[in-house]
Amino acid sequence: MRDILDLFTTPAFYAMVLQLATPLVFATLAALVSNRAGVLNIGIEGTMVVSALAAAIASTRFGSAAAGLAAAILAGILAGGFFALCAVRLRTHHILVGIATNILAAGLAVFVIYGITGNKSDYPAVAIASWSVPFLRDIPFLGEIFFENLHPLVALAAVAVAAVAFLFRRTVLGIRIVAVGKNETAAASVGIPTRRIKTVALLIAGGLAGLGGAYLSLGYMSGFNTGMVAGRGFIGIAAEAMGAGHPIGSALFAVLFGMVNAFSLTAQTFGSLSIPYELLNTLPYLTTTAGLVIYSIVRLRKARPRRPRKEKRP
Amino acid sequence: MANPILRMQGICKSYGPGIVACDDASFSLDAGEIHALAGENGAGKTTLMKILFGMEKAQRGAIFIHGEEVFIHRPNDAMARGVGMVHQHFMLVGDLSVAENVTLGIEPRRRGLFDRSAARRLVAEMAEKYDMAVDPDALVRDLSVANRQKVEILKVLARNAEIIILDEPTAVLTPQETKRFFEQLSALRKAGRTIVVITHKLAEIKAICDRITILRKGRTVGTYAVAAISEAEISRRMIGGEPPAETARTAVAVGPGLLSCDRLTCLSPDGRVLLDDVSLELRGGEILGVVGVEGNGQRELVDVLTGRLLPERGKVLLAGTDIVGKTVGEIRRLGLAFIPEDRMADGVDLEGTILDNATAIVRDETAYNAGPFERRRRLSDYAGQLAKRYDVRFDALGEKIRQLSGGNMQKVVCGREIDACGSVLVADQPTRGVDVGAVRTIHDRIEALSVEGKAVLLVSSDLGEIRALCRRAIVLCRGEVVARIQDLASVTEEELGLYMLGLRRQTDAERAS
Amino acid sequence: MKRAFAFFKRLWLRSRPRLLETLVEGGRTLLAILIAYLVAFAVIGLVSEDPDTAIRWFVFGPLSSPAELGEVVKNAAPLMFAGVAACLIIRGGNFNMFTEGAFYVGGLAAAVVSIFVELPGVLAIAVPLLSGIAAAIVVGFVPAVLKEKLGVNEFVSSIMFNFIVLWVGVWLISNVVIDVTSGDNATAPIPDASRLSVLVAGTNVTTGILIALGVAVLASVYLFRTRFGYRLRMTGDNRAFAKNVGIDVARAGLSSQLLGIGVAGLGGGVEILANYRRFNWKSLPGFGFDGFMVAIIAKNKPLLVPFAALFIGYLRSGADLMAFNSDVAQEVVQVIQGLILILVAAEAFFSSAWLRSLLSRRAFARRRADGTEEVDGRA
Repeated sequence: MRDILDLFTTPAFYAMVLQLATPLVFATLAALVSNRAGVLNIGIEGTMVVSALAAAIASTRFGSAAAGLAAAILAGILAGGFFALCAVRLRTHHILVGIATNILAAGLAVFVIYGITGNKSDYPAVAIASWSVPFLRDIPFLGEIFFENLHPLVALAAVAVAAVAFLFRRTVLGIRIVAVGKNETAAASVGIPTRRIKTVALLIAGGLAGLGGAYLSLGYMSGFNTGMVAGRGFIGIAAEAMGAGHPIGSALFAVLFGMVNAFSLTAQTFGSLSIPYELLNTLPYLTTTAGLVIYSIVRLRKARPRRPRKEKRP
Repeated sequence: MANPILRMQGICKSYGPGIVACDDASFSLDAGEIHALAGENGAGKTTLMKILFGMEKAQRGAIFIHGEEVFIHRPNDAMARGVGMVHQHFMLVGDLSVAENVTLGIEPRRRGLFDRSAARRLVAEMAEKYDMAVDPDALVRDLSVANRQKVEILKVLARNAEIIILDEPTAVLTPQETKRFFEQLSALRKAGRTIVVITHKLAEIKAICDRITILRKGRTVGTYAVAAISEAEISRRMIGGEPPAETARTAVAVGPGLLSCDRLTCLSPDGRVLLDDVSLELRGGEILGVVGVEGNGQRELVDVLTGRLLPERGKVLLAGTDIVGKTVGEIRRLGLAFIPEDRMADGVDLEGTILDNATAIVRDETAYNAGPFERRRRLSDYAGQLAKRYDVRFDALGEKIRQLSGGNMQKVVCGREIDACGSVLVADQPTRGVDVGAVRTIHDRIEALSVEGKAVLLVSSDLGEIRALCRRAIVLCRGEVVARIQDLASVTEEELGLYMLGLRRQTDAERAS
Repeated sequence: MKRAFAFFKRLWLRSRPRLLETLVEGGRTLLAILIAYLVAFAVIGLVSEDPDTAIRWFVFGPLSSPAELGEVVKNAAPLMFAGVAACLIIRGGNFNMFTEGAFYVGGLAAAVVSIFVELPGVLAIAVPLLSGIAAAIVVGFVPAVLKEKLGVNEFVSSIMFNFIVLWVGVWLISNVVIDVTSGDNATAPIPDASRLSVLVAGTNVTTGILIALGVAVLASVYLFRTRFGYRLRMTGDNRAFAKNVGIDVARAGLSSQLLGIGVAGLGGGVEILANYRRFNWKSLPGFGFDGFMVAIIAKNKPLLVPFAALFIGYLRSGADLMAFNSDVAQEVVQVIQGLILILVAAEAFFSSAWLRSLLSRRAFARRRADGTEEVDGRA
């Protein structure tokens, strides 16, 4: 038991939390932007797969991690565009488009790897090197967590949260996305091109998911393997739901899930717990479900009409 | 002297055979006036204005603004010509602030970003000018209804609308808010805007409007100076004194009480009273009419009776049991059937077949099931007979119901409810949208129900229909029963109009009978 | 002569709407498949050194011998179960993805029961299968009831459960019910008495396909010939309408999900008993999502599911053969599947409403005296 409690006071644990949370944060932000535009984007999972692969391939082909990053973002945007084409232009039900995107992405990934290497599951990558920030890394405790081994994409995740918040607070596009998402008729009645706005939102979401995929193959691991996304896209959707559409709140829930993930991974090394690692692996998914349940209960309670004040007419 | 800024003439619009919204309607507007457009529901006033605003298209007719003919195909065109409309159901985005909503679509920018302070300034300036104080940074979903309306008006003003159309603006306002609203309208007029108010509230017309145009059944009855016409006269022209198309039926022997409401009271989530102490009794063999201008509690009454709305207080007794709190299924099994008002939305399954829709109520009966399986043949026969009885033209029962015309779909819905009625039928605007030929059939079938000893509650804003079918009626105004009428034949249209428009109410003694 | 002409014209006019509708729908599906194939051919052409051989194997391989045809049928069987499951779920207005996990749980339960419980005769097959159904429903009950009672988005929660079920299952077969002599994380061999027998000699087609066809028929009967199926369909089509006619929509929605999950569990059980010596699944078999695809292609009609499943089975076989005999990976089939799904389900893709408006506009436009056009009473 002791060693478990100790876990929560070791900076290394929290550094791991950051690592595990980063792809979730990107996924959550992608879900958030799509949701604000009124589209439930199930295809984030698949987008992350193709982006992770694109990053791996481009980084090895060009020998540069930066190329990998660019490729990932591009792949993500393309995937977002594909989703938009199907859901907005062709008007396929968005859940079906999501399912199709995930199937397509999984198949495409294996197909491409096989075509290039002849094996079916892995592809190496040139990872992005981590920074060791001088001065800041010497801050006790926090320095070790944040600045000693700082992966640029982890930092970028934090920037992305701020950027998304900025998008919706300060830009015209952000305001229009909210309008289209919440009341499409109202937006249309003032002449806003709703289809175009939705498409742009999906492109942005795709780019964000792409960053998440890039981190997976260029940072978290150094390479791509099928199955590395492991439901993170869906967990991101859940975190966004619980954050009720606020970038910072949703990101915090993503970090929370990252923490559960970190816990389940490290707890495997503790003899004292003797819970098999497979069962520990279910923790992130259990927590997500529990979170959704709590969220739904809270939402139901709020919607129950309060006692209205009686107004007397003359 | 008159300076018409707007002229609409010869406007015709129909939604299909027999469903005419505007029948050679005309309308003209002088600059700088507040003009009321009045009429009963279905008179065509909202449709006429929607045509002006580009949300509907007329089949015939012309519109002239400042003497020049204009062709308006969508709202953007109307707004470009200086016409703005504030709809009855607001088009606002709750999650955005007032300033954001007002400038939506015409957002001021600075260096590529949303210039929030410019938007705020715009809102503040207009609010000042037109006396509509509202916090530019408040989120719309936190605003009261009256303030939301202000935002809608500001939206229209921000686009430099010369002509502002307001659709039933005081429908959702309290009396105090209404008074403030009138002050704002005066300010707008003083600032040179021209205002059209779609309304049926006579007191308000008298209080604020300069002229009034009355529409009835899609036609323009006339345009009058408000100062020169009395409320009673307005009422008469709106509701009319035409003799009913069908003669009243012979009386049927009245049986025991089947349904009764006892002091039903309903409140909206924000505290407005929707039903105020409503009591009524429905006896077998009767068709009781519920009369009133729409929006005065009829929908809430029907929703309570059918189990879709919980009242604050009161009881509803059906077959001896209090059905408040019961599910729709349970209430139906106690013998109630109902024809919903918005049949297209929740009365039909558009994806389903004619058979599916026509047999929706009888599916659970043992006569139509053999064990777990349905008796297809019997269901088909039932549906076929129903279609024949109501003169529904179709090719095959297995075809999708949306292949039928709107009127035929309606007949299927009405028919299935009427025929499956156990003891009580609640009919909410049963013949709205139904073509003239079918109206007769439905009326005959409803009558047949009363002959069988069943009871019918007929909610309708078509007085001709009420007169044709009912002897007794109650009049609802602002959620209250303002009159109970024992013998409709002895009450004139004018009198009914006065009750409906809230100009007269019976004494407590009269109502207790 | 004129009489005959009038008669035929009337017949034509009467059946025209439905005939047209069916033709358009069928045409759209074929068009979608055609486009998907063209895209696949293009991809193969790009990737392969010898596209000719690859495509030949892809298209004709599965048809080349009875054994190959048998493979198509064998591949189609689990897809039939999954497709029927998805039909039931979608018709009820839900998108419960736990069919994946249900398949897994069903297989696991069937395997375990068949190993540890000795039963005679047909019970050796029936009881494990029933346990599979029961296990699937018990676990799947949670996301289903969460949706009906609390409004929890069943899509996400069911996917979470898929992962949970997978990890628990992997743990079980690695630790609890493991057969260490197998050299793999797997259960002991499934007794012969429980294995489904081969139906067509010389192929791998088992009696499982009969069960699948039976389930499709049963589901169709349930949906279209019983009052319970009626309630389910009405709830899925228009919930407000269903409520208004007195249907208990919560119960109908729940039953739609549970039935679907049960069918998926049965599918898992059948798959295991038919094709596997032991239970050794360490990843989700993937039939859940594919089932939704099959259902969409089959227009959510259980009776059409076998055909759609056979088509997808044919696609899969073709891809396998192509992979074996050329340098193209079989995953290209997923590209095709994804595209077909999107195109078939796309409302704006040559939709019947669009075509109808195109046709009716022409046919029924009339000119009025003032020169304006009138169509169907609208300008």
